[in-house]
Amino acid sequence: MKKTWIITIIFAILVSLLEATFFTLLPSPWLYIHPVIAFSVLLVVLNKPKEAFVFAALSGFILDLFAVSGGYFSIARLSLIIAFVIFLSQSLFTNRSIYATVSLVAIARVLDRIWITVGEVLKRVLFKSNLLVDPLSSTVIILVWDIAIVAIGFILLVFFTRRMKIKLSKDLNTYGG
Amino acid sequence: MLLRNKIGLFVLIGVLLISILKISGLLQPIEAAARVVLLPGAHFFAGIGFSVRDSLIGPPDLKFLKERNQELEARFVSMAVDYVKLRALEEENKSLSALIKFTQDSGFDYVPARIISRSSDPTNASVLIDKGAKDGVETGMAVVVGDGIFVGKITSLMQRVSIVTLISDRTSRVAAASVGRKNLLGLVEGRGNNVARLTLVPQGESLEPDDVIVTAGTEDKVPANLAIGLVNEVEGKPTDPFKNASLEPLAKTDSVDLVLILMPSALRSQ
Repeated sequence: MKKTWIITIIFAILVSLLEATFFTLLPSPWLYIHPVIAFSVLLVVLNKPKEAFVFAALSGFILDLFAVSGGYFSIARLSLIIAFVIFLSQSLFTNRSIYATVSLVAIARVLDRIWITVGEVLKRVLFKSNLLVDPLSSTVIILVWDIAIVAIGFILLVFFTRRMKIKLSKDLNTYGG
Repeated sequence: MLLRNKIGLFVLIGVLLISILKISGLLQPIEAAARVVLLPGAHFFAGIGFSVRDSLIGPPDLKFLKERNQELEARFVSMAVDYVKLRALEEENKSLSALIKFTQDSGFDYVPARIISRSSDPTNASVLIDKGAKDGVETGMAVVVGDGIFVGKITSLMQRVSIVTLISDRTSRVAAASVGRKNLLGLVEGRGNNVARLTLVPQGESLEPDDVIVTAGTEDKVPANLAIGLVNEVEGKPTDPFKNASLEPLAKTDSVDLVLILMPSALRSQ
């Protein structure tokens, strides 16, 4: 149990540093890889909601430390988004399929975009700052990368952990005979 | 259900508490300590990022190189005459400097800094560097690359890191002059996507393509005569009160990983 938490914390530090520094220095389209949300969703799908929440919160804290463009209060943003994703995974998208995983990451990314846009509008209204919203095309590219990461991650998890394989016992007679 | 509601409420309260702590600034000591611990990691990943970037970009297209070569050759010819005049002025300046000890009285220290992160939004041209208030950096200081080509100013300061807003950023405004002239010419404004423009140039001022635009020196911590860019095309009708020009920045900030922060001698830490 302790080992899981240590791995989660180390993984959060690595992934968030990659998102804050490494990927920002690459040219397009690699520049648009933002892996924190994608890996958080994978943890949710692995039925580790507490780890997913801590992963997101810690990653958000580190993203805020190295934020360049004004920061989007990532610790609150990611915590709330992943909390909502956890809620959805337990109430609406309860099946652990690749389709549910992709749906969850798409919802998370849309919420992320809404948060950032609302933040910029509020800054404009309250502080008369310039309205600096990413073009929609960049959010689409980020979402494509998210889907690629969760899809590949899901497939790898199925192969290596065998958690999501459905095994039917040979004794089970599904037709009641 | 009740347990889920309780957990949800706990999460909301936790996030609200952290938000209050952050806005009030009470989290700053923890953030500063965390940066100290994580900065080596950020350096490491930034170093790998620059190496991977170079290999991803690959060799430039031959057609592009040929066109660029022709364009640069044409520019070179037109600037050759200006170069001769400038050399003459430079010699004169050297003698004057020796007499009045100009460089000793108003010289600048350079603090080298490494870029560790960039904004991923192409309209927002800002970078994070690994020097902050603890290194004597102050908001508004000029940042240069290479042989003193101005690329931006420090706009946000923390203990160990700071944010540099580059001249192509949409919020960037720098007072500019033409090389060889002392008076303020106009304003260099960023337009995003590595583009900057010279605006608010009075109609009566002379402005030609290939003119070298430099900092005017009217801002506190930005010295004069730091090269910014070359005039590409002058725009505006003769009846307009002001004319504008598109600028080609002299420094390509996409591939830069090391910058220098100018620290005026009057502000040098004792």
